[in-house]
Amino acid sequence: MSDPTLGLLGFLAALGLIALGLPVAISMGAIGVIGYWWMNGWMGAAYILGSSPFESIFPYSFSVIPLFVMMGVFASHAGLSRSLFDVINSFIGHRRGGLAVTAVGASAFFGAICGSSLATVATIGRVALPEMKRHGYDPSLSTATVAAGGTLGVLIPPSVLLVVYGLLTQSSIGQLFIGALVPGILGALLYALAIIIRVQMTPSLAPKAERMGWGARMKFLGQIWPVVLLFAVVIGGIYLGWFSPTEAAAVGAVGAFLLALASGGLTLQAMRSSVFETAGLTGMIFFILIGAALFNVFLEETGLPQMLIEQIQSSGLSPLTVMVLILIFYVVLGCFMDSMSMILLTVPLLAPVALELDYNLVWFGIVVVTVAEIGLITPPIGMNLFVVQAAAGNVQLSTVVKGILPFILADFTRLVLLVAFPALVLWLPRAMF
Amino acid sequence: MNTLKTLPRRLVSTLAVIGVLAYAAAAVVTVADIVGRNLGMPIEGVVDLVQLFVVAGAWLVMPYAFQAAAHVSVDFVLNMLPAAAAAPLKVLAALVALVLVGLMLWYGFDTFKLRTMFGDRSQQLGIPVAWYWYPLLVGLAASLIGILIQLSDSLKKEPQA
Amino acid sequence: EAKTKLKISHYLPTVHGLHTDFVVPWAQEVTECTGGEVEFDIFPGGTQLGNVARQQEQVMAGVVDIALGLTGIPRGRFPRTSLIDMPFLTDSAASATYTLWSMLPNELADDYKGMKVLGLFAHNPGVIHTATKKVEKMEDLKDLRIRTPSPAVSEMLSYLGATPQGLPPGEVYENLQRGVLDGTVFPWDPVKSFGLNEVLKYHLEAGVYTVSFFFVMNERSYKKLSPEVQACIDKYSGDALEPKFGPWWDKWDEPGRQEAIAAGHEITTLSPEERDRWREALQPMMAKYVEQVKASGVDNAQEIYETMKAKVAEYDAAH
Ligand code: NA
Ligand code: NA
Repeated sequence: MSDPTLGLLGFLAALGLIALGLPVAISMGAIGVIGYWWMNGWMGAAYILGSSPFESIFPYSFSVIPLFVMMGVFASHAGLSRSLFDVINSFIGHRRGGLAVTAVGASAFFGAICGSSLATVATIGRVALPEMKRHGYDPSLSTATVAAGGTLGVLIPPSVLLVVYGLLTQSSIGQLFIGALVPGILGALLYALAIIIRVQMTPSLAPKAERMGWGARMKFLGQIWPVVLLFAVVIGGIYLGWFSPTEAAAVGAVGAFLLALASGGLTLQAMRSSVFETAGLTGMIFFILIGAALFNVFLEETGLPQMLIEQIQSSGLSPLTVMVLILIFYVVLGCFMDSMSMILLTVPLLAPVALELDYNLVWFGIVVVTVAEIGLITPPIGMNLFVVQAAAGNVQLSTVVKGILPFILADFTRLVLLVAFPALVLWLPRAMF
Repeated sequence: MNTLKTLPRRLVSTLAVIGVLAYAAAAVVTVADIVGRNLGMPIEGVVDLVQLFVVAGAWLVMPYAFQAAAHVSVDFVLNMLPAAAAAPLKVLAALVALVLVGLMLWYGFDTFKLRTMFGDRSQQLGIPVAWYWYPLLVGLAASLIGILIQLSDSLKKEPQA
Repeated sequence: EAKTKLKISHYLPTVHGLHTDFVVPWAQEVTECTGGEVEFDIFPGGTQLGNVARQQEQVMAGVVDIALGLTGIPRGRFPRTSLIDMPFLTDSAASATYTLWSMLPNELADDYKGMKVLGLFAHNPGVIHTATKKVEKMEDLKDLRIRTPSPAVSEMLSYLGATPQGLPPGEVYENLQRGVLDGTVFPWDPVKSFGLNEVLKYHLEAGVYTVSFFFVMNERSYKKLSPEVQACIDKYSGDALEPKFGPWWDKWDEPGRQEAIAAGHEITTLSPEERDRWREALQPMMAKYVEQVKASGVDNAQEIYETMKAKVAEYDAAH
């Protein structure tokens, strides 16, 4: 049996174990070790087992992962999400569907200080779901809005997923962050448009709410300065040269903690949940990194990535066709897999292909993260769907799924725009670097 | 009897708290360096220190991630199966995890001995590399406990058909 | 189909001269010499086997058959060889490479137990590159935050008054651009490959340090090969490689230097008087370094250092 075939079998075997309910990281790690053992004997596998886990966590640049996670967790417990929701609501909440658009806006702004999608869904869900329920919004609209809004947390910088992509492909994290800004905002606008169209078609989904006066608006505006400050310091500091992107995560984490402390929201209970939330999320991410390293050492040994590039080169397909095929592959995979695992599993395989076809790696990263995000809201496996269902309580998963279609369409529209107009991604980084 | 039940959980939680404190230390050292270098008082070897704290944090929170079943998995096949068939799959998942983590610990210990025998040190401050390895050894060993706790929790949760 | 597949790993990107001019042609030559009986799989930097700190271990564990790595990372693995890193010892890749290779059979052999050494070499002396502050004399280095490649250079910079900062080479650009670093010590070639000329302005060719490399094979893998194959490997290694590294490094360094000139940067050479001052200031550091090597079990560290000086002089006299 030729080696690339072995790589393909390994890939399928890992997917099989994942389908059987084994954690993604464990599946990748186990198949990686078994495959490497098969090819090189136990001595080699033993060395990899003894050294790869250490090395896959060791790099200095990985410090951003726990620190950006901490930043989001503390910001959420400081009540920053609440103040974001309140201020947007005071301006547009009284229009039809206004509360749902508010939830999208709050998700986008919260995404600017939080690196993870699940944390964004959980945080905004806590605030927005009860509010929409009180005003008689249809649960299929409210839950789907929060689930979709959460995906903005991944793309709008800072983003743990972009960091991981940057580390895997050795592309600049600073450029990835700035390149994600326009696609992220575009995503929020398209979501808002999807909501507006939907409530125009079926007005009963979203009854109008009361209008707020300018006094209330000013009061709420006065409360969001901590969010603005934190975002300005972290992202502004990077571009003014106060600190490197790696260091920015530390500034963000300390800043969010101080704001949480100042806001008085940091009770002992909130402190405890912040700590364990951080522990669970980062432990999960780091173990996925280990599993992916074990899997990739095997994959490289089989020569599959190299063969894939050669096949595509000799196939005569146009670069655009190849890219469209890659994106379709991601959408399908995203129905069954989580975005972080998907990126770790496939980027080492596909980034060299993209590079070979002369695609810019920053652009490819943004596009891949955008598709991976779609996976978060596509059934049957969409992490955001599960989280929002849990947060809403008393709502069927099918209810959430029923409302998600317009948002998926909005995402596809965005994807087509990004592929058709790469400048949407690349203009800002080129202007700034 | 009761202590026997709560002790492993308490161990795992304590490690998680220490791990997050280590992250916090990494953040504080970095911020102190950013401020310090503008005042002409940079922190020497800040990269070595941040790496040490982050590595320590990452390994010490690992057992908690196992215990809390924070690891991402796909359970739609499990959900379609009757409970009688789901239980063996859960045991299988835990077994694979135990073997994998156990092997990492076993051979990690070999690598640890090799690197300390060579007297490896961090690039700038010369911190003995052993300090970067102790958290790995502790974290992996406690992860074995975390996996077992999670298995016992998830089997209990299932109404026995 | 080849009868034997051998694995080579190194930590450099595939665009680096060490990959394109050295490793790849070397593998091809050996394959041809064996009539296709032996083929090589190369795992460069960026792959899982391409970690700079793991090259020696991978050969020892038999995970790869051949590896190319730095003797100084992780520090302390090659104590005898690492004496070549001492400041002001050599002034060219050619003389340093000659020194190392000629000392391998006697003074340096104990660093390479269990390994078949195919080559030892060093790069051209490092240059002190700075972004906004020009460095001409020792005082100019005071409190500058400089990225360093090795413990020996860290220590040297501390003695000269700078603040050394260990960082992965890939992070140097961003940190220079944001003013987190004031400068870096590198030979010319990574300045080009990491695009650093965009963020640098001053370059001091001080000739203060070098960094040494090993190209080694697992002894068991070597012994398993037929005598004919062994002869092929020998034919293209060792003595045959030694004279090539000087010209190679000159070739690899030139584009970086030309790029800086084209960008209108200021390139200065350290004056002889200033060089003497630096050397003077570094005396205690050098003594301490030799003591450290001695303490790690190399009783004749001082003698090895003296022999290195003699070999460099011998080379310089002949060229
Ligand atoms: Na974000
Ligand atoms: Na999905």
